[in-house]
Amino acid sequence: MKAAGWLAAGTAIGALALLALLYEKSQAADPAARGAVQDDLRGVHQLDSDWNVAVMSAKVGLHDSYDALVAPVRRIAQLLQAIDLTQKRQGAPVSAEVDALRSLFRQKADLVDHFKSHNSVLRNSMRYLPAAAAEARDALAATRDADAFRIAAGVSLCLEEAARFAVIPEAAQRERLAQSIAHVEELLNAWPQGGAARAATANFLSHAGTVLRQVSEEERLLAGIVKVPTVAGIEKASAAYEAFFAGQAALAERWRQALVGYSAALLLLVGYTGWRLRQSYRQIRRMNAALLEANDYLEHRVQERTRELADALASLHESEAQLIQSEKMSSLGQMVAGVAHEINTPLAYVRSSIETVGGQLDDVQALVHHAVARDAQAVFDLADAFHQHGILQELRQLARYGLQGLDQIGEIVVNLKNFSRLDRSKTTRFDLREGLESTLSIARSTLKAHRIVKRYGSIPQVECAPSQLNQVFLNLVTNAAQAIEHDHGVITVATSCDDGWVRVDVQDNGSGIPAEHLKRIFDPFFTTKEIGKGTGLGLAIVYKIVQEHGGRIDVASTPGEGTTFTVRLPACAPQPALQAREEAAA
Amino acid sequence: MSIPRILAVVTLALSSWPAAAEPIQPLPPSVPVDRARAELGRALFFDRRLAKDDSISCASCHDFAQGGGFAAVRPKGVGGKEHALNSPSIFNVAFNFRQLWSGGQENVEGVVHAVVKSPAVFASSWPEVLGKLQADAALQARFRAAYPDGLTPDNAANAIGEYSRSLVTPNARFDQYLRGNANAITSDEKAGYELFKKYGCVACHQGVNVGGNMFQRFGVMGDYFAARGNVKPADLGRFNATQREADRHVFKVPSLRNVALTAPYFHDGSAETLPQAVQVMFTYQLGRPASQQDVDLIVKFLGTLTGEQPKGLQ
Repeated sequence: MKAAGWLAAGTAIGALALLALLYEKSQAADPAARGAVQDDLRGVHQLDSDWNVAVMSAKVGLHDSYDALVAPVRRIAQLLQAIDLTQKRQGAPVSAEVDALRSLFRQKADLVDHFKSHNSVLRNSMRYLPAAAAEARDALAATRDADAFRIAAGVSLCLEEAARFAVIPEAAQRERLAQSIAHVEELLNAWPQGGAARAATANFLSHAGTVLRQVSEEERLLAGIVKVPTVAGIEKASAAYEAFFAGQAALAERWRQALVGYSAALLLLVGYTGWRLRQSYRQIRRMNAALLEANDYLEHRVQERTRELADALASLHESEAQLIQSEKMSSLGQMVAGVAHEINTPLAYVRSSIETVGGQLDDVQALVHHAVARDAQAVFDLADAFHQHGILQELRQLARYGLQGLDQIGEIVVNLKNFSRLDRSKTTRFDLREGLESTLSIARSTLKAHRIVKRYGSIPQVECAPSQLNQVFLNLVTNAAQAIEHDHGVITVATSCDDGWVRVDVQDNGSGIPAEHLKRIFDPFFTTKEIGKGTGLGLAIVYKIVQEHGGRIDVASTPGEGTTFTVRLPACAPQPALQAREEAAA
Repeated sequence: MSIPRILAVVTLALSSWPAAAEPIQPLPPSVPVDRARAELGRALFFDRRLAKDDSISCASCHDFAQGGGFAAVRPKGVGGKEHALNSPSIFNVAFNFRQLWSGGQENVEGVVHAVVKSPAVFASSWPEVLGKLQADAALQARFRAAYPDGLTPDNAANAIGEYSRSLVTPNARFDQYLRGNANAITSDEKAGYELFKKYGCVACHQGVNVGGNMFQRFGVMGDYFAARGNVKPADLGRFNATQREADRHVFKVPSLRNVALTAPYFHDGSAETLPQAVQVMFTYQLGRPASQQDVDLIVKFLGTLTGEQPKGLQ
C-alpha cells in the first residue's frame, strides 16, 4: 500500500512538473523582453538623431554649450548595455551586432570630440576676424604708408573671402581664401616696417589662417560623423534580434501547442477521475446504508448469541457439576472397592476365627456333657486332650484374632466416616495432616505395594471443606501409586508451612510425566490411560477444588525419576489454644 | 494642494529651470548616488591604507580646503615622489565627460585603479591594499552589505567613485544669478561675464561645469610649449593615450568652477595666479590681446563660480 502511495505521489509531481516545463518553454519567446530590446534600439536611434542635430546646431552656432554633444554618449552606452544584458539573458545571438554598434558609437564620439575642439576655435576666430581686420586696418592706416594701404585692402578682401568661405565651404572658395591670405602675407613680407601695424596684421593673418584650416577640418569631421553607419548598425542589430525572436516565437508556439494538448489530456484525466470518484462515492453511500442495516441486525444477532452463550454456559456448569459428581462417584467407586477389599480381609479371618471357635465348641459341649453325666474318666480324658492340644489357648487366641479383626474393621469405618465428613458443604478449620492420614488408610490397599514416607511438618489449620481436600489427596496418592511400575516404589507425603501458605507435597519415584504432557495434565479429559481405565477428570477436579479454596497446585516431574505434586493452601491465623497444644506436642 | 505648497513648487521649478540660451548652466543641488556605497567611498577616500606605506590618502592631494585640489604646483605621492601633473579638483567630477588632464579615463573608477598602482601616488597594488583592508572586519561587513561580492578592487573603486560623484558644489553666486537672482553678482562681475563671452573664453569653458566637456589643444593660436620649454611626457596630454598626432598637446578643458580656490593653474601649475592664467589663455588659446582691466573683470567673474563646500551625502 505504501509503495503504491509513493508511486501515485511521484506520478502527480511528475505530471505537474511536465506542465510547468511546457508552460515555461511556451513562454520562452518573451514579448516583454522583445519589446524592451526594440524600445531600447529605438531609443538609441532617437539619441543618435538628436546627437546629429546637436552637432549641426553647433556647426551653425545655434547651440548653447557642448553638453548636448556629450550627453548622448553615456545614455547610448547605458541603452546598449541594457540591450546586451537582455539579449544575453534570452540567449539571443546578437552580441556581435551589439558590440559592432558599440564600436560605431565610440568612433562617432571620437569624431564629435574632435569636432568640438575645432568648432570652438573656428567660432572664436570667425567672430574675432572682423574686429581683428578692423584693428589691422586702423593700425595700417595710422602709418600713412602706401604699401600699408594696399595691405589694408588685402586684409579687407581676405575678410570677405573668409566670411564667404565660412558660409560656402567649397573648394573653390577655399582656394580664393588661401590665395588672399597668401597675397597679404606676401605684401607684409615685402613691407619693411614693423611695429603695431605689423603685429595687428600678423594677428589678423593668424586668425584668417585658423579660419581656413578649421573650416576645412570641420567639414571633414562633419562628413565623417555623418558617414558613421550607426543607423545601419542599429537596423542590423534590430533585424538580427527579430530573426532570433521569430525563431523563439515559432518554437514557443510549438511548445504552446504541446502544452494545450497536454492540458487537454490532463483535463480529460481529471474528468475521468471525477467520474470515477462519483461512482465510487455512490458505491460508498450504498455500502454505508448496507453497513448501517447490517449493524442493526448485528446488534440483534449479538443479543441472540449472548443469550445462546449464556444458555450454553449454564448447561456447561450443569455438565461440570455432573462430571464432578460422576468423577466423585467413580473415585468413590474406586475407594469403595478398596474399602470393601479392606474390610473383607479382616472380616474373613474374624469369620474363620469364630468358625473355628464354633467348631471347638463341640468338644466343650462333649466335656460338659460328660461332666453332667458324671463320667469322670471321659471328662479327664477330654480335659487332658484339651490340655495336650492347648485347645483353650487356641480358643483364646482365636477370640483375640477375632477381636483384632473387628478392631480393624472398626478403624476402617472410622476412617470412612472421617473421609466422608457428612457435613461436607460447610467449611471448617481443618488440620490437613488428619485428612492425609484418613486418606492414606482408606487407600491402604492401593498403596500396599509401595513404601509410604510421611514427613509431617508443623502446619496451621486451613479453612476448607475437608471432604473435598480428602478427595484431592486421595486422587494424588492414587496417581502416585499408579505411576510406579517397579517394585521399589516410594511415596513421600510431606507437609510444611510456607510464608502464610500451608504446603502439601506428594512425591513418587515413578515413571514421571513427559514435558509435553505437563502442561495438559490439569486439562479435563486429558489422560494417558487406555479407554475405560481413567476419565481424565481427576486432576481437573483437583485443580478446581484447590482453586476454589484460594490455593494453587504445581507439578514438577522428571521422566524416569518421579513426580512431585505441590498443593498450597492459605493458612488460617492460628488459634492461640491450638498453637499452645501444637507447641506442647512438638 | 495648498497655496504655500503651490508657491514652493513653482519657486523650485523656476530656480532649477536652466537660464535659457546662456552657455553656462547652474549646477543641480546634488547627484543621485547609492548612499551605502558612497559612505564606504567616503571611508576609503580618507583612508591612508591605500598608500603603500600608509602615509597618504586621496584627501591628501584632493584637499577640500583647496577647492578639492592641492596648493602646490605638483603634489607628492608615497615616499615624496613628485607627480607629473597639477592636482585637478575632485569636486563636480560627475559633470566631466572624462577624467584626468589627458582625458585618459572614462570615470573615477578607472582613475582609482590607475593611482593605486602609480608610483607617484600610492605606489601599491590591489592585493596589498585589500590585504590591509580585509583585516578590518567592520569594513568587510559593510562591503558585504553594500555589494553582492563584498570587498573587491572593482567594488572599492566604485565606492570611491560614488563618493566622488556626490561631491557637488552648488549655489555659486553665478548659479544664483543664472537662476534669476540679478543681485547675486556685482556689476563688475557681470561685466566680466560679458567679456568672458565676448572674447570667446566661453567657447570652451561652457556647459553646466563651465568646461570639462571637450578636448582642446593647449596652444591653439601660439606654441605654448615652445615658449615654456622643458617639454615633458606629461605635456603631450591625450597623445599619451591615443598616440595620434592630432592629439599631441591636447588636454581635457578643465572646469572653471571653484577656480578661485585651485591655484596654481594648468596641468603644469605654471600660472600662480588667476590673472596670469587668464593672460596665458588670451595669448595661446584666443590669440588676441586683452587689457589689464578686461583681465581683472574676467578674474572677478571667475570668483563668482565658487560654490558651497560639498554637503557630502544627502
